[in-house]
Amino acid sequence: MAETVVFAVCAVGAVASGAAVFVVDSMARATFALLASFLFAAVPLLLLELSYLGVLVILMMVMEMMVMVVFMIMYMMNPAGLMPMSMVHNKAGSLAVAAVTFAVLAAGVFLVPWPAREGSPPADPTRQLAEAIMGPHMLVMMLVGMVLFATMVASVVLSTPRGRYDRYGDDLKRTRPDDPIGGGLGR
Amino acid sequence: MDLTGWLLARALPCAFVVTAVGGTGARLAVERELRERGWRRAAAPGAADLLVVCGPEDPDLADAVDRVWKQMPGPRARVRVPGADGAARLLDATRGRLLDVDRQRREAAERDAAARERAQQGGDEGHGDDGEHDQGNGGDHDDGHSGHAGGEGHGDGHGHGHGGMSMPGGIPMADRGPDRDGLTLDRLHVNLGPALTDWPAGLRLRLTLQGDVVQEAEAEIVGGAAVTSAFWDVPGPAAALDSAQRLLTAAGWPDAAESARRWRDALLAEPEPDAATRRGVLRWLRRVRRSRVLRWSTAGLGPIDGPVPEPLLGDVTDRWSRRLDVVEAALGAGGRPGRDAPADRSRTEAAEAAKAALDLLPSLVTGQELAAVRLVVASLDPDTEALRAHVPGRSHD
Amino acid sequence: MIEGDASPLSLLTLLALLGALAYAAAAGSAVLHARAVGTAPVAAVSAPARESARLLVQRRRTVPGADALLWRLGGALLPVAAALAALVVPLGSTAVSDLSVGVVWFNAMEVLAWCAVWLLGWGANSVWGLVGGYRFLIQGLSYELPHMFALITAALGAGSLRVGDIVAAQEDVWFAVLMPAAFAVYLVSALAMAFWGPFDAPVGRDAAGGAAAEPSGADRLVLLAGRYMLLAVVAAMAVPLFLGGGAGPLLPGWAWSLVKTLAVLGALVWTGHRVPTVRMDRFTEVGWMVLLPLSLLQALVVSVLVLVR
Repeated sequence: MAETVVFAVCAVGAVASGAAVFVVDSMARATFALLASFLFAAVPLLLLELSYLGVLVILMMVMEMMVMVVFMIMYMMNPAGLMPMSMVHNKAGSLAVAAVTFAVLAAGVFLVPWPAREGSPPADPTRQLAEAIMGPHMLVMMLVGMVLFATMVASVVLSTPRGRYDRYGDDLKRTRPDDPIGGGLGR
Repeated sequence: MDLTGWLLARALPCAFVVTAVGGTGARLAVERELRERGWRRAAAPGAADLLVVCGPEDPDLADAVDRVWKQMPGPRARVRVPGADGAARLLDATRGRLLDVDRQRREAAERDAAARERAQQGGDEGHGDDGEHDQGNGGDHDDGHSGHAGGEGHGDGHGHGHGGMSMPGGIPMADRGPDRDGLTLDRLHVNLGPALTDWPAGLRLRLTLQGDVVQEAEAEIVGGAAVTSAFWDVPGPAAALDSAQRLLTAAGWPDAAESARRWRDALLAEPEPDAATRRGVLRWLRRVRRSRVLRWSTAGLGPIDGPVPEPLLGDVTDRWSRRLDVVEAALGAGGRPGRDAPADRSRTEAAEAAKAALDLLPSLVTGQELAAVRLVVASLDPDTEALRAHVPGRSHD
Repeated sequence: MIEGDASPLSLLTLLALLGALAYAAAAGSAVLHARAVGTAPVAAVSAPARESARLLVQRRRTVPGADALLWRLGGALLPVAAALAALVVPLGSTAVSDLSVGVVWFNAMEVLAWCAVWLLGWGANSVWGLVGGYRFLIQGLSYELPHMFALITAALGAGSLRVGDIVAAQEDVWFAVLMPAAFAVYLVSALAMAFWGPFDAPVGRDAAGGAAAEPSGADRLVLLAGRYMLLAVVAAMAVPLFLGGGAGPLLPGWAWSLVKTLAVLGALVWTGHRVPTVRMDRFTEVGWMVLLPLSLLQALVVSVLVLVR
């Protein structure tokens, strides 16, 4: 009973705050509405007794949104997001896409033959998860990790206008780099 | 007595101190009083309940002071301390007004009524009190109410590209400009000072910021036209300690800064420091000098070389180290600290150093972050009083 | 989510303890301040109470153009995050909720402080608040990864994310001895997380109080209380993670937990008064170039130890 109530509250909350993302007129509020929506979506994971995944979603979503906020300010310097701005682009198109996606997913709920539970949940789902990921799929996961990491490094390298020749001189012989703001280690 | 009064009576006041040019003596007295009573000095008007303006009446400063006053939430009281004498009495009287619950209630009701009236007239989104809010604590910005603030949004999702057409809250929008990485970003116009704590009296730094990086800077002195003599007539160890406490505050080391203020006042009170004071000052000197973190966070900031007065040379670390040397030399000499230089010359020197510092300041802070700006200003610590009192170029002997 | 039956440590007791520890931290800070100023340190013990009285009477401010909802939310989030993080901190051998993923829960809740401080800064529509909020984000990006690795290393040593198991694994030797680098990194990041001590740039006086520049009255009281609560929680968590939890001779477990927590808290508060603020443009490089490799190396060493054992 309690679980049903919590689930219902979270489901309604997730949808409501998700809708709020497009209703509010400030980027900061949209960001935090989105965050609230993700957090509501994380709680059902806890209800499924997947506590590790649930808590991890909370942790990652909070950090992710705060990193997003960093980029937000890079492009708009107005405290409190003073200038009201619409969070909706291409209203008709996006509405159509959203409706279709929702219909497909909702249809899936009813059409997919959900398997019945066999046996009981493991004592420690976190360990099961780790073994599932790092056991038979170890190689794949490591590769995916490396590719993700390489992508991040590459995108940073590509996006930064200053390279080592700017910092250390054309012959790379400068002992201290020429930076607009020096770092803490003097390198 | 009701609960409000009871709580108020138990609260230790928190003072926001603004210093006019020519108010150094008053400021020292006020700071001493506050310290001895255990009252805190607020960093921003929003946290304060006492507004203390030190120094002579100055029409140029009045605007900034009024703005600070409007930002104070209340219960609140304000006072001007014209000179060192009577600071204690004035503070007592002001606290009395702060504790007068009926008076505070009346004032609050008046402010609320005025705010309501303004909200009805302006049609703005009903922002509670004190229409004025500024970005820089005592700075001023062009306050162009456009009347049609807060529209429904601009549809294209990038509403702020419209060159400040609508102004939410009556505050003009930032414009945009290229930043140091070649992007076009929003900028803010912010004034540091003159009503800023731990800041040279009367100095105003007009900044154009992107994020917290300074793009453009302009320095000027507000007020002080009538000042004829400088408090630090002959800069000695107490003056050096006063500069050091400001730097330590900007560097985020309140304990060392408080100690510096304490020893500064001790040296001012007794020109021949006794053994205990001497020991205390030396201990403080050792502690500040030994701090690697302080050295590390000030090294390489605001470097100056070339033909400038000697106290300005080097980076921030060099400058604060030299101030500490002054204190140590004066204490080591045994005699009356710092009274060996001829008064005329040191006066001119102080004024010239202040002038050079003001001229150099914009170029030094451009491209720096706010934290670095505060450190650079505190390390230069231009004596604005000396500059007003002994204008270089006119006071040649 | 809550596993096992009702714990003897009730939520109310926990909150009361947290409040008491937060007050102790504030009072300790006031005493250190009084010592520097040269006034009577004994009188300073009541300073936080008197400051609370002042803030209770003070009116709340409204700032033109502020996003009041987000602004007030930011201040309120801070104590909530601290209280939620405290749920998994055991007192002796009992926590309010000894989750199987306690360490991750603690981490997730303390990261809420990022939101809190940023909202405080942004919502106030003040340049000082904005600068403070972003200073905290950049600080977070510098300390969070080393901090996570320090937490993971402790979990690794015990082979469990459950705080109770981590305490049990320290029966022979405290993790502070076994993994000193992780402990050191934890303490540094604890200071940074509570924006205390050398990492107080987000609320620095040089930025007129930064993220805390604009709130007044009750808003400010909640903000300050939340900050001290956060400091108390991170200090309390160091005890089960690295200092053997409630283990100790003579005294009962809960008493040892409290004593150790007070010791860590005292050390953190003292450090905050002793060291000037570390500027973020300098610390970021240290975080990424020194602390992160250090905590990774420590994790490697501990993993090898665990495998060999």
